[in-house]
Amino acid sequence: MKSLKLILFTLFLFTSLSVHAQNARLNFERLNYLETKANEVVEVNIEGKMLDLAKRVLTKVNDADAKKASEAIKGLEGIYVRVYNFEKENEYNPSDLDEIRSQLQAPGWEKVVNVRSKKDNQKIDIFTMFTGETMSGVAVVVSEAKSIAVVNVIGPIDIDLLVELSGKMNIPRIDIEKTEKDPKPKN
Amino acid sequence: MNEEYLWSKNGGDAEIERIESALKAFRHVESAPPIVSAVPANAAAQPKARARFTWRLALAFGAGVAVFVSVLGLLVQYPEGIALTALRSAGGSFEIRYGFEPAEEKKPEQSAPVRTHATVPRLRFAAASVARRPTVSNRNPEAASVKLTAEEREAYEQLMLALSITGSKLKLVQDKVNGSDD
Repeated sequence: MKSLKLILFTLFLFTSLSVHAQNARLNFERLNYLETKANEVVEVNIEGKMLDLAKRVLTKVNDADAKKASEAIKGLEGIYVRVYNFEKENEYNPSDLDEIRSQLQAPGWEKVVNVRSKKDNQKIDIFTMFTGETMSGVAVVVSEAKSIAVVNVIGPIDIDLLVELSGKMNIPRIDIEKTEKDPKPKN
Repeated sequence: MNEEYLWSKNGGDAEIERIESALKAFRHVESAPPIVSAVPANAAAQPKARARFTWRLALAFGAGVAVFVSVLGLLVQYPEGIALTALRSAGGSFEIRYGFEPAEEKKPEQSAPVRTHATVPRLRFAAASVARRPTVSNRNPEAASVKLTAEEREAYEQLMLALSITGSKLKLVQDKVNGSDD
């Protein structure tokens, strides 16, 4: 009887921990149809062995910024990114993003930044999730007239360090922000 | 002319005798054979010089054999051979370096270790240099780069891309909050 209780308790503990870990993960399925509509698409899913491999490479790169980045993502468990840039305005359905935002209303998520700008109809939301004192998730949802970006980070991450490294890391250059500053095409 | 006198000197011939006496000064006088009084001065040194030459030849041959064996040993150890790694011009001075680089280890891509240039075992020596400078293997910025397998490269680029986008979006928010965004 005692051992049965122990097994049940262990099972409960594992279940609750896995629920916590999964809580921070967003479902992007609703955005999949945009792949065919968008002018530019960036889709990154990095987790598990792939992430471990990348972390290992990062530690071996003999570069100060890489060392900082390695430190910033030491506890990272996964990172999922979706960016869709459109040629024209109103090519996506705002309700698709509302669905993502509704997922972030779940318990555990806390909105830390809410930016609304009439310029380009820009909306930016940042949510964080904490398990005790440790950050267990970050979500960034950015929508503009001609672009959508959703970032979902699982596990602790040093946001300040990441912002500091922004634009410094030696990565394939993809100017995500470029379309936002492009002049509107003349009709 | 008395021919008998001419050939066997019997009888006499005044004309021949006159010519004979005129040419007497040029008569051949047989003398004793020359006596070798001294041995030539360099004759004693010849065996020493010969011995020295033999030694030098032996030394040269030994050195040649040693060089040949060394090169053969290196070729056996590094089968993919000798590479002339650098012929550089540095500030007007030339330096030629020869390197023996080991064969690339053929391992499965999954388990291939990440190796920097610094970790590649490399035997180098300066063959000739007009103005020798210290050779630093990572003076070239590429030396700091990491050799990656295709999988490692993909993982690294994916992570960097994700971090870059995340960083840029967070920076966008930071700029908005700080009012520095136009």
